[in-house]
Amino acid sequence: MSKMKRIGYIISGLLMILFGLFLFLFPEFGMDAITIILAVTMLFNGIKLLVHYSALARHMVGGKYILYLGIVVLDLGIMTISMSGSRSMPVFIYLFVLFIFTGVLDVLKAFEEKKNKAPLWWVRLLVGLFSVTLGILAVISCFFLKSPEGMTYLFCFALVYSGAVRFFKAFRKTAVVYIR
Amino acid sequence: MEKNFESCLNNNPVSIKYRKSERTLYATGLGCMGYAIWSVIRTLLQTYFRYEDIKEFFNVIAREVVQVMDPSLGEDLIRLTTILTDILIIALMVVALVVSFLLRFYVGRSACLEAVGKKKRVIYIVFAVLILLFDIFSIYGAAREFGNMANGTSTEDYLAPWMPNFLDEVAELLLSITSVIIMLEMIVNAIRVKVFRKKFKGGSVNER
Amino acid sequence: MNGDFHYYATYCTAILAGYSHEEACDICYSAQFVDLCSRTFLSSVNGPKAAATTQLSAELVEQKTDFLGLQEITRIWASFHFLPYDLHAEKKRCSRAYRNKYRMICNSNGALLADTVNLAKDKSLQAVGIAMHITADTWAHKYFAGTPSMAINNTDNHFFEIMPEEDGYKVRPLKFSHNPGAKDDIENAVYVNSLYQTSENTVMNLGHGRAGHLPDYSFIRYKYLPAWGDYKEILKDNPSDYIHAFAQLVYAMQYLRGEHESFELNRYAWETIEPYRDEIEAILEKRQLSDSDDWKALGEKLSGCEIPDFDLEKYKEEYKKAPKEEKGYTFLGKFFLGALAQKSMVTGKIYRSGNPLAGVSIDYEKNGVGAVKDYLKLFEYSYGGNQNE
Repeated sequence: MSKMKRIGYIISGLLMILFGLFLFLFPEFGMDAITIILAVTMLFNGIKLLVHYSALARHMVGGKYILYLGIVVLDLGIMTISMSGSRSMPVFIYLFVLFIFTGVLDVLKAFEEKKNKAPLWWVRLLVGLFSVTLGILAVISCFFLKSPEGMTYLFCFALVYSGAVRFFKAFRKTAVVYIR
Repeated sequence: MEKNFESCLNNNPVSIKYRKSERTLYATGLGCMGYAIWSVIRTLLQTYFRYEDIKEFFNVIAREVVQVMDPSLGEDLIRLTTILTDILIIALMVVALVVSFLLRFYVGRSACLEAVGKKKRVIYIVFAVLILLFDIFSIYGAAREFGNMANGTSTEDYLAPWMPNFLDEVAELLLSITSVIIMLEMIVNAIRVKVFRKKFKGGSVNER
Repeated sequence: MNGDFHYYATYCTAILAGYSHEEACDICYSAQFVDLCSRTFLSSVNGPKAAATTQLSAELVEQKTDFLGLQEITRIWASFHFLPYDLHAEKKRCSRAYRNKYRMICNSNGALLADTVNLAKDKSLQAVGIAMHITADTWAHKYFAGTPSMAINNTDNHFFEIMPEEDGYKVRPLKFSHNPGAKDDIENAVYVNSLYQTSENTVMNLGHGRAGHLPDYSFIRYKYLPAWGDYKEILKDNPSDYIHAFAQLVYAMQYLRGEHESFELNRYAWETIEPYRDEIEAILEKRQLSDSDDWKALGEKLSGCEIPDFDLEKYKEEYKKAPKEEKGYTFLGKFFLGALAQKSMVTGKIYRSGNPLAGVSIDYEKNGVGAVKDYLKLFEYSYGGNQNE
């Protein structure tokens, strides 16, 4: 891992922890803030895909898929903005599913590191398994809690956990596979 | 090694157009199926979050209906009518959702099969035309709704408090326009592919 | 192309062009070294980072794909592996962004190829090796661009192998898998390629990743739909391309030795290779993933000498131990100078054609400061002279 990447991990990890703590202290801002951030990200990605299509992909064999993908992402973004307050649950479900997905990727990477004989592969495995378990429990409890503050606290916990993992990742020794 | 293999290429203008039409047909087929799945998810989400509002709305409707019929009727009958109305409306919504999903999925899947040379029937094109007309009607409805919102006479005021807000209407309009484009492209390219296939006597251009 | 062609086949072409065994070894080592001279290697010898001629997988994974990162990637890959064919190619009704990427498509016998070969004239054997690597790759890597671009480098599942038969040929579909650990299965026509990515500038869309290793196998003929091709099928006849590459390498090296007055495009040393043509074609048509043993046998037959195996560590100590002012005269030092000159030339040509993809190129003699300091070595060692001393 390069120096710049390590610094990036440290800063982004700290920011995630701080944001999580902020949401924990002010949960009433939580749902709207998260919804708006997610919606803006989706809108931006949707517009980016549409611009990509008009500038480049329309000349490409099979470029139409980019157009459809852009519209779907844009629509998701608009729909996400319209969801606020009590209707933010899908936003949380989406974020927790992403959390599960990241956990699964960590588990797969852990097995790959084990194959490459990296020393601390089991750490990544534990992190991944914990993420998956936490994500599944969060999704299930979303359907029982139905309380915006409750879901915000769950999200805060997941965010602080992810931030801490990212922060400590910066200090890991990484095995670089040198390919000849 | 002096053999020339250029003859294996299908690059006459007709073949190129045919290939492009097949690929566009396949893409529109996938787009149609994706739209079907996404529509179901959106409707379920919107219904789930507005269920209490929807229920309250239908209760009000049922109460008004009963009042009109006979104001002296008891609470039990009102409650029964409310429940029956709930079930009827929900059943109608589910039927409409399922029919819409199945129709779009069938049309999308047929387009994909046609594109790879596995399907010969034209009925899916007829259904595609019907979906296109329905989407055009949806756009007209949404445009009217925007007009009403601008004039301050939104359906929200007199019809139901749970009707979609402005952003939902924008999202719905965007999807309807996309669906119109997908259906138009699908119909045009499906016809092109059928015409080309008659010239090449069936099968996908990839098989040559 | 793979190491079998860049090392052993290039050795054969050097011998046929008239070089001695020792000279041919230097040339073929340099040709193969272009695929291995990465920043990681340069760090290990404390060499100039700007002389990198490739990027390892691990480096590409870490590489940023922002504006400057993309320029860094393009400078390396377009200069050494995907030499652009026509920097002024026209494409109707497209945006400037698309046209810039379209102009980076590699093909054989482009104007830049003549510039590359001429740049190596009266220079070191290492510079000759670099030029031969680039020349060979213009044949193998045709129709792909040395810049990350989905709009140019993407392909789909329309891949068909053309297999010659007695009376003609048969066509069979090729399949791809995305498991990087799997080996290519020639018999069942299942090959590994990079995953489809919707992001335009991801490194997965660099070069011929979407076609896997197919361009690097000399035996295979196939047709496919390139992303830029407007739905036209393209034939990639590798046996024909590779023998043209072989003959052009011989001709280019004959020119560099002084046998011809100028280097002409679309010219090949067919007469020189004629006595060995059947053997060469037999190697190229053999259905195997590596032809190293066969090329080595041919090379040793041509020269009567044993060809040493490629050893990445061979010249490291010489470079590390040399005093600073003499590093440019070591084997690796001469290679680095050749690489810097090539990269500088190609980047300059791309920049002056109005294409920003490879970054800014400064004319040092006119504008002086602003250049990456590594390139100043070109002036320190008076790059205009013969570096065979």
